[in-house]
Amino acid sequence: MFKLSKLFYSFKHSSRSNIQHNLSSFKKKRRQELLYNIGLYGAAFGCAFGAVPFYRLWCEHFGLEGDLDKKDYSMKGKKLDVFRKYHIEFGAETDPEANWEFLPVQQNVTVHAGETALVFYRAYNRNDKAVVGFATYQIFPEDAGLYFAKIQCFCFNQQLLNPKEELQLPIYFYFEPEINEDPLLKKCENIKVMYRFYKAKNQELAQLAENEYKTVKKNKMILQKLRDAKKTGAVSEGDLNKIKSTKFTDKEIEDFDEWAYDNPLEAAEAQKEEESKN
Amino acid sequence: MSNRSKQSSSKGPDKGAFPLDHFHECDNEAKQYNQCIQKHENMPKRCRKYQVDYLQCRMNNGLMEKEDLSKLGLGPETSWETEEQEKQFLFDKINRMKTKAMEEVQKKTEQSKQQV
Repeated sequence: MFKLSKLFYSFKHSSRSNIQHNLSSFKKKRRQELLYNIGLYGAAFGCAFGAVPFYRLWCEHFGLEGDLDKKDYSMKGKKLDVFRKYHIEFGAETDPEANWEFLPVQQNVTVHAGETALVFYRAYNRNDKAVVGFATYQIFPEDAGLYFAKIQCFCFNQQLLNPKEELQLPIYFYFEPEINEDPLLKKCENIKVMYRFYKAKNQELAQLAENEYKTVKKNKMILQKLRDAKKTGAVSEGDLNKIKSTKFTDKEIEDFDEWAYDNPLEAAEAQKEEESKN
Repeated sequence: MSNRSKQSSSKGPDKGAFPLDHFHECDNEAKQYNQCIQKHENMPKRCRKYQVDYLQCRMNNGLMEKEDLSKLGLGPETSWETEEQEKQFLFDKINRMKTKAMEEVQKKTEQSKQQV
């Protein structure tokens, strides 16, 4: 009797709804698992991203310093030996090709380790054309070169000097305080820094500068023509366009005195003054 | 030795290269700095004021990244006045020790005289 009732019971409940219920619960479980998985991976990813500011805060809290974005030159934590001075000589060499004058303004300087100092070099371009140059340096003795830290200088970069232009080139540097503890440099008091200025092989920058200069001159000449044309009277669009598209020879561009017609207001005032005098 | 020479060669500047001052905007400050340094026996520490002027001129005209002066190592802790103060302090200390030593020497000579 019992078995029969069992059979009857199972027959009743093994209907379609039972199967669907099982299926839906299966789906629910799998969906839960999927969400857990996504959450786990997302958390791991987020931790990887969040570790960066977290590390920074951690270091700040415990006072551990590292090489962060902005470097600090104030030598806060270090003990500086202010009385051990180094006598630093500056030298300069130029490429004979370049025809520059390149000399240090301060031939020697007295600093101590850890002190940030500013030094100038003076460069003068004797050519009539713009020249692109490149500066590198050498330090004697070589062991001291390890501690020579530059905050900013004019080296390792192509520099363009316009024709007949004189410039002050600064170097902002310091010697790291660890130089005082180097056993090989115990007796070192004089350090020589030698800068060499080469003419860069690729003079593209100079070419660009010259082209810019030429276009500026051309535009000024065209402006001058337009002003002259408007003075005489009303000009039609066609004529204006013609003037705008005139072509000049290279010689005309060179001979043009760009400072003569630069400011029409000034020229007008000067004219008025002359008239009033007369 | 060879290891060291590899390290020493060509480290670029921290803040990159200085842009050139083609329009001579900061030339006056540079001149003043140079004159000051000539006066003070080529010690840049004593011309800190003009150094700061020059760097600020550069920052204002867009020729240098703006930064706190104390971060650039130009604060009051590293100025010439503090160095002179330290010198004075050490000098005073030495003098005191000297006077103490002289007194003790005198005492001992008196004692030895008395004994004799």
